[in-house]
Amino acid sequence: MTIEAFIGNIEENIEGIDAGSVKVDTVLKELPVWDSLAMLNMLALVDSEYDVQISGEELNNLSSVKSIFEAILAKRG
Amino acid sequence: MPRQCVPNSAFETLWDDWTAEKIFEKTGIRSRYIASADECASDLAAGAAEKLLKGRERSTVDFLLNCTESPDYVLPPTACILQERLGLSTSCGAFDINLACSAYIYGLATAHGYLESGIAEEVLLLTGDTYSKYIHPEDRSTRTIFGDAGTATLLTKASPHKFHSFVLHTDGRGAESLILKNGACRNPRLVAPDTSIDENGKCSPDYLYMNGPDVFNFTLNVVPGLVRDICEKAECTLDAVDHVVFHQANVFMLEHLRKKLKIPEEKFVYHIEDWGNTVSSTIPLALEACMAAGRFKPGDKILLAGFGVGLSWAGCMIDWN
Repeated sequence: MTIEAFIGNIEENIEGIDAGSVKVDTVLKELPVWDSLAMLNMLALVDSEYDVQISGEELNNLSSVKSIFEAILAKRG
Repeated sequence: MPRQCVPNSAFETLWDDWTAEKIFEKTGIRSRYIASADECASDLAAGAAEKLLKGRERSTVDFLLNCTESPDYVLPPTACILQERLGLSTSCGAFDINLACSAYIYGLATAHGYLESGIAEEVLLLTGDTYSKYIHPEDRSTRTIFGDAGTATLLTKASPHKFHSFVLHTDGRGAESLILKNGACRNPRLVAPDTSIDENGKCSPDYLYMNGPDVFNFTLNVVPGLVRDICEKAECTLDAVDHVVFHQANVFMLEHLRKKLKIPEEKFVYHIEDWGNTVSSTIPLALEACMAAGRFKPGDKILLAGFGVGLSWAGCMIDWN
């Protein structure tokens, strides 16, 4: 469970995001492709790959990919 | 169906970056039917009922269940108006079931209970919703998804199909995830609606509000357990189920749930492309399409699950014969 794998998952599952374009400090919600469906894609990804759920509100309050990854790790315990 | 069909292209002028094709990609929906100003949910339900009852003796119907969250009036219940409109006997019981996407299952459960206990012998179960009347014209998250429709189902003790393994749930903590706040008793609306909408698409409490992410997470949370509970009650495995019919909320959610539950594509029913999310009507519309296509064979097991407003979720099994 690495942040590189998480970034790989994001690039693979969220439409419009090119491979190699996401870094640990990328703020996903500021990307032009980020819309309501991208948000749902993210929730689905977190559920299927990491077996936890993160709410839309939590996602909106987090900024970088790194902070989202840390939140997921915290939920997994 | 309402008279007016609204294809995705009708929305292109509203939101710059959303073409008809993009709307389809995001929602899996190409068009939906929208009630006109003079069409109410009861008209749609009555239309369906008339089709169903044509050539049939209707004096033997002794219960009318009307699934709607879009009543004609605050009171009396629309079911009572429909009893009169459809020329049903006054020996008929009638009431509205206001549970939107879970309503049909709750309706089946109620009908089943009444039929089994002898409270009724012939139950007319109607659905009718016009969420379009609650939606802000510029709210893209709801306007592209919801459609209006009405259906009619007749349930009798003599029916060869067996309805069983009902599971019904509620969680009011999610009340605000799908809510129309103003207009009832908590927040009466005494002035014209506030039509403003912010850049995030959030409109005033005078319109339907749906927190997409929260509702999505809710389904991920509860639907797998619901399916498991139904199968446990029915004493059969999910593998032994022949057809799975979920409430047709949106294609993305359905596809994710299907994969999460490992349900093969050929067993999973999709019926949303041409109608959108018709709230209480999605499950009966899907069932009817399957029947018309000859999809159900005697001996088939069909699992139904509805989930949404409340929050509520419910399901059952049908042994098709």
